[in-house]
Parts: sequence; structure tokens; C-alpha cells
Amino acid sequence: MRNIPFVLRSALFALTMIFLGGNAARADQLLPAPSDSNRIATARDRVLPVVVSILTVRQDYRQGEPLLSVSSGSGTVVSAQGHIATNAHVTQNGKSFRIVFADGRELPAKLVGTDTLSDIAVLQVQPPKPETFAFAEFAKTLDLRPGDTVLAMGAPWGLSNSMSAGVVNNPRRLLVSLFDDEAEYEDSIGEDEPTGRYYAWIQHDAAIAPGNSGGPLVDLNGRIVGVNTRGMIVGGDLAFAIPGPEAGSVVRSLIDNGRVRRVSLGFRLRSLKGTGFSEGVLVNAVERGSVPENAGLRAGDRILKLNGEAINALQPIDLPALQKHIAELPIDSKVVLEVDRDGKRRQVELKATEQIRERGDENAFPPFGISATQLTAAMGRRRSLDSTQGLLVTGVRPGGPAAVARPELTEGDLLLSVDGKPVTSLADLNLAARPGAEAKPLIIRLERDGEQRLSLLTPVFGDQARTPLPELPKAWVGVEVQPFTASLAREIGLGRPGYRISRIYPGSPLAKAGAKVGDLLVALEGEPLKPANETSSEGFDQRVHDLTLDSHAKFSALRDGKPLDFDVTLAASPVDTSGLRTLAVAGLRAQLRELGFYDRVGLKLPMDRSGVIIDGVESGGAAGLAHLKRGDVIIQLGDRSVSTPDELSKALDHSLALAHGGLIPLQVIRGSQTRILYLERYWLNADAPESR
Amino acid sequence: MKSFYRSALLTVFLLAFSAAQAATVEDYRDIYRDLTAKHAQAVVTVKFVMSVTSSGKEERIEDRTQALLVSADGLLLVPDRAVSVDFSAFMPSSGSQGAAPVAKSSDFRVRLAGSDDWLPADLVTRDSQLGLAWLRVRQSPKDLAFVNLADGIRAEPGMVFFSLLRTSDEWGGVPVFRPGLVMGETHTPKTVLLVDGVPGMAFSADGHPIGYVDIDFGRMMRSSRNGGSGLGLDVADVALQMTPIDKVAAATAQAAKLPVVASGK
Repeated sequence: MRNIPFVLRSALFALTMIFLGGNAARADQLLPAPSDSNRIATARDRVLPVVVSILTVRQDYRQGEPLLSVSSGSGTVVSAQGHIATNAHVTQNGKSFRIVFADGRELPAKLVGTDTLSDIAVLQVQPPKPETFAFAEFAKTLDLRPGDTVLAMGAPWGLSNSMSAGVVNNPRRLLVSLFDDEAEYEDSIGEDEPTGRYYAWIQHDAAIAPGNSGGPLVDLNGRIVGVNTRGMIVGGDLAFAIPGPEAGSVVRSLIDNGRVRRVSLGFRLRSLKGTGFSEGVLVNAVERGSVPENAGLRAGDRILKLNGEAINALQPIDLPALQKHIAELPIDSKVVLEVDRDGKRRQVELKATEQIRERGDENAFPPFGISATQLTAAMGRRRSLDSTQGLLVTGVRPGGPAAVARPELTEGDLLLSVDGKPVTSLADLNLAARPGAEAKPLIIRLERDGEQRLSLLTPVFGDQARTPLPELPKAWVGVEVQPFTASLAREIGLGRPGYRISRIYPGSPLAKAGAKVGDLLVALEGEPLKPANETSSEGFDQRVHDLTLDSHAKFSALRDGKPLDFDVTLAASPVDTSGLRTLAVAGLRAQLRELGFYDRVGLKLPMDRSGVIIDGVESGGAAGLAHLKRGDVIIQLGDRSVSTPDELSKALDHSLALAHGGLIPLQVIRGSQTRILYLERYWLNADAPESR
Repeated sequence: MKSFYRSALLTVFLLAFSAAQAATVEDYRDIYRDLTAKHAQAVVTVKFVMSVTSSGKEERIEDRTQALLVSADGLLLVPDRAVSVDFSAFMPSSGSQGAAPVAKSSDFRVRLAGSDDWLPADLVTRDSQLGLAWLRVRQSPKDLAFVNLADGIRAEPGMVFFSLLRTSDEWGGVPVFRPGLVMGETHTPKTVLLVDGVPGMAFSADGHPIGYVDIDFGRMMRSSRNGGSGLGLDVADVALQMTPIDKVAAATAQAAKLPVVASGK
């Protein structure tokens, strides 16, 4: 069984619309009995108005560099102060959040806290002036039974204010199929961020889709009985929700403390399933060198009592409650386990230590051209690393300093020190590799495949060069032509083989000489122009390119069957797109380029039209949020006309510096229209470096 | 039974043909010795990073190619495909320029013969029609060994030529050579020699440059699209192209006068 978190990444939408049609038909068939209709309406009116859509600008890392994108999820207002309960994977790597309310109002929000172990997070709306919000409440106890009607609310595929109905399939579902090993359960749900350790899921069939993540599952009493979290993208209406009481408890902790404190005893459990025992729970794994191992606990031991209280887990489904019970023991308290090993009973005393973070923060370090995560003990154990501290390389920019280091750094390397100074965080790296007058090579000590190695790396500070690709100038006459072979020309009645002018560029050498569309060019400098086939005009281009730049040439042509000559002064061919200057504007997260001759031709713009063309846009960056697209031509930013990328960059700085700053308007040519788009100031990250 | 005899006859014929071929095979040891002594130092390896913009973000990949030193002060000749690839050539209907992505290279680094250092290099210019580009070694050592393209001779169909290459450092960075054959000449759509060989500078047996051999990926794609199922086995177009040395030399002379575009950091 493979299920996925139901957060919506923008690119998924178009791809998967096809599944929606199929699901809609199924949902109709699942409508509950008419007697439930009134209760459904009541529950709907109680919760749906406080269900929100969440737009997250995410910062992920690819090839060692940050990449902004937009994703969406759902959530519920759960306090009068505007706290929003959602999934932790909805807010994961979020740089900024916007909440869209049921009435269409849109407000920014801040992250209050996140708990990846339960996959719950809390945001708080930031209204312009203090406000009291309507909210819904979590169920205090879970009393769902298979067949109970439940309602899923949220924004499937980003379509807000959506509701579907279904029934509970199983209120206590562990995501372990008959084919899986229960011991691998946590790791299979999320490497480095195991989730679902402390609860069994509610399995239901109310239709949910990507975008529903974090939205409420509501019973007919209008209580939040679950938080929709996972589902099947194919293979039927299988949806999984975090139980409401557990989610509510985590949400309260996050609101009160910003985090959830839990205890870890340093070992993993498995149920007695298949062992023949009927009492206790098995120790499945003990970390090497850990406190429980030193205290004498071994894998295979059967724990019968915890602090004098009998504990049992006959089946895997019994484990989450037991794990939760252990996690809630008082931090730093003494824990006494009564264990059975080979029929002999013994006591093991442990200290309940606070659980450490499973995963460290990820960041990019441009001077090295890498992204890296701060190593945690848990991550180190999973990778069998010898070191317990360091920076784990998660991505390397091709051609960047780390990629050309000697030897090169690769993903999975653990950086231990730079020039002898230990590095355990990005802050350490910043201190160890400061910009100097000259780029000085640094000695990196790292762990790779259990070996400690050295590498020499020269950091690069500041902008990366982006240079146009110039061409050697070639002779050009400024027409597009269609080849006519002798036989085709005869059949069509053109008289002679040659190249018929199919487009003529205004102001080009042949246009100046009086040539028109429809003229048949039959000879150049007295040598016949004879196409080899009817598909390629390369023969013509080649003949022209072989002429000397700035020289004169004589074309012989036929117009309406009558011969005429064109004396042309050959010009240099226009610069193609790869030879034009580009600028990656970090604040906009977009690549801009000079408007070239062929752009004007392709877009049917006047040859004197100035502007800046968009070559690429990151969906989560300012340009993406303003709905700029590749191929758009920006002609004005704020109150300034722009004709080069540098002018645009200056116009942007100028607009940002204005004291009365509101929205920054952009005039854009898109297709046959001139449009107005707007940039929000806070989308623009002025701190980001600009690469030229 | 008939088919058995036919097969047997064909086998005998092929063996006889192979034997005749073997009898005419020359021993190239003298040519290898002379050619490597004369030009191997000018054949070097270049690494570069090719970038293509996708969803507003650059995707990058590091690659490697062969380069030829063509001046004592570090001017390098490389195939244009190592500098820029216009994907419109690979698409059935490309439309206007700019519709298809263009991959561009940067971060050029050169490993000179006998060195274990990678020296940065900068783009000077390119000629997409000839399929050539020129780099210049930054802070170049003086008096580098180079191939004088003005010393070239005209290639003709039927000529055997020799290409010099250098293995990667994983294989010791040693020179290797490959013989090739000029199979024909065409002026449509442009003047090139059609050859069997490997990409790179082609030399005559006595060490004169005769042309630059390369693959035209865009033309190959178009040709394969027009070739139907391929079962017709029309292999006449299956050839590399050699740009005559006079054109390569003329373009190189133009490039030699130009400054580098800009220095990367």
C-alpha cells in the first residue's frame, strides 16, 4: 500500500485533473441516507465557514540552491485569536503563508509551531487590526464506528470551500498492510521525519485529493473528529485522518508552548503478534551504546510492566497508544521496566530523557555551492555515521565551488571542519568561510563512506557570472524563403526553380532594395539558386552567409514572371536569443533578457518596441506570485519604462525605495494584449543576491 | 536446402572480402608516433557546466569535451555543442526563435597536457553555422604548444585522415588516435565533407590539419524523423561532417582578434 501526503504542489493540478472527474461520480453514489441530510447541513454550517485554504511559499533545495514554489493545503480556524490547525507537511519549508477564508478574504499568517512527529502545525492569522474569529472545536473523545457518516472539508486541488461525504471505514487503522513488517512502519512513512507514531489513523472514504491536507474531518455533530492528512492518488477512495482528540492535544501544546515536549526511552517496540505470548510488549531494537543498552535492555526482551503498571500490545494497532503513554512520561523521571528474557524476570531502570529533534534545518551556502542539513543524532544513526555532529550535504550546484573542489564534494558527505574549525551549523560555516580580499582555498574535513577525507575548496563570494553567447557576425539579407525545386516550380507555374520570399523583415537589406513577399529569388551573383529539396532553405542561407559582410550582392528574381534585380548591401545578421544579455533578478526570482530581433518577430511587435522579456519564472518567487509568465514582455515597472534588464532592476529598486509604497504595477505585453499585473512589496526579498 | 547454399555462399564471400580487407590494412605506427609528437600537446580536455532554464530555475549538468589549442597564448577550439544547444533543432516544429529552450555553458575549465590542474577559461565567440566555438585560457602559461590552422591542406573524398584525442584523467590523460575516411563531399545545404571518423580536428598522415569533424545533432534528429521506420536501411546520410580547414582557419583568425565575453568569478 502506498499513500501520500495530500498537500498540493502547483504543478500537480493540471496533471491530475483527470482523476477528479472519476471521483466526482463516485461521491454522488456515496451520498448518505436522506435522514442524515439535516444533520449534514447543520455540521456543514458549523464548520465549513471556518475552513480555510492555505497558500504556502515553500523554499526547497535543488542542486544545492534554494527553489521557491507555491503549494496549497487546508486548515481550520480553532481559536478566536485566529489560530489555524493544519498539517506540518502543509507548512513544511514555508517561507510565507497566506490564508484564504471561506468568504474569499485573504490574510497573511505566521507559523506558531510545528510537530512533525504528529504531522500537525499551527499558523496564526495576522489581520491588519485586532479581530475575533469564529472557530470550530476538536472532538474531546473519539467514538467513531465503521459506517458513521463523516464530512471532509477543504480545498482539493486548490478548489476552496469544498465538502465531500463518506463513511468511516476503520476508526483505528495502522498503515501496515499484510505484506509489510510492522517494525519498519515509522520509517516507511517519513525518513528523518517519522510520523504517526502516536496514533492510529481514521480510514474513511469521503473523497479527498491533494490540497485537502490539514482540512477537517467532521462528524454529524459538527465536531472535528480528524485532520485529513493522507490519501491514495490512484486505487480508490482511501483517505486517512489524524484522530481529532490527538490533533487537538498537539494543537493546544503548539499554541501554548510553540512545541510538543515528549520523552524517549531510546528503544523501539513491536507487538506480540506471531510470538505466542499474550502479555507485554517486545523490545524490537535498542540503539547501540544507548542508555537502555547500557542499562541492560536487549532486543527481544519482553516488557511486562512499566513503573509497576502492566502493559500489553498484542497487535500492531495497540502500539501507538503505548508509545504515546511512554512519550507523555514526565521528563527526567525515573522509569522502571519489568522485563522477561528467556523466562527470567529482571528490572531495568532508565531515565526518561526529552526527545531530541529528528531532523535538522536545511539551508543553502552559496559560497560553497551546496545545500546542507545540520546533522542530528537520529539522522546520524539512520545513516550509520561515525560522527554525531556536522553538516550533511544535501545538494551540490554543478560547476560550483564544491563541485570543482579537489576532490569534489557530493551529496551525503558530512562536513566536519573547515580549516580546522568544527562546523555543526550554517552559522559555523559562515564564520569559517568569510569573504576575503582574495579567494583562499579552504581545507574541508569530511566523512564519506565511513572514511575521514580531506578536500580543497575555494569559496566564491558574490554574484555568479551570466554571459551572453556571442556569434561571429554573418551576412544577412533579411528574408525568410520557401524553396521551389525545378519540378515543383514547373507544376505550380513559377517558371524557374528558386527561393520564394515568404517573409520580409522591415528595414532589412532586401526590403530596402525593393523586394516583396512573393518574389522568386533565382540567382545570386549570377549563380543560380537551385534548392535541393522542398523542405529546407538552408542552401539559400548558406549562400548568403558565404558572402562577405558589408559587401554588395546582386539577386536576380522573378515577380509575376517578369525578371528584376536587387542590388543589396549586406548587413550583419541580428543577434539570436542566446547572444542577448540576461539577468537573473533574485528579488523577483525570474530570469530576464533583452528583447531581441527574433522576439519582436515572433511576438509580432514593432521593431522599435522596447521591453524586457521573461525567460523563466520560479512559481514561488515574486514574479511567479504576480503571475508573470515565460514569454511576457515587461514594458513598464512602477512609473518607469524599461528597455533592458538593468533598467528593470533599477526601476524595481526605485519603486521599493518609494516611501508611499503600495502595490508595484507592471505593464506587460502578453500575446495580443497589454496587461497590468501587480507586485506585492513583501514578496520581494531584497537580501537575496542578484546574479548577472 | 537452397537457402543453406545461399547462406554458405554469402559467408564465403564475406570471409573473402574480410581477408582482402585485412591484407590491405596498413600499419599506422609511424603516423601515430609522428602525429602525437607533433600535435598531442595541443589536444586538451575541457570541462564545462551546461545550464538550461526550466520553470524559471536553471538545471545544470557538468560535462566534458575535447579541445584544441590553436594559439600559443591559449585560444582553444571546441565544438559549439559544448557551448550552446538550441533545442528547437530537436523539435518537429520549432516556430520562432526563443520558443524552445537554449542550453548554455559556463564555468569552463581546461586541463593542459601533462598537468593535473584545471585552469579556468572564458568564452570568446562561437559560429553556430560552422558548429565551432572558441575559448581562451585565463592566465594562460606562455608559449603553449598549438596547431597552426593556417598550415592546413584541402581534404578530398577518398583521403584517409587521423584524429587525435586525449583520454580523461581516469585513463591517464594519454593521447589516442583514430583513422577516418573522407567518404564524399556535398555543397547542399552547405559545403562539407562527409566522413567516417570521430569528432575533432582531422590531420593528414603528415600532420597537416585538414578539417574539423563533428556531429550535427539537429540534422541527425531531423533526418531520422524523415526516415520513416528505418527498415529501409538508407545509410548514405549516416556520416559525420568535416568543415574544410580553410573555413575553420578563417573563422579562428576572426575569433583570435576578439576579447573574451566576460570573466566568470
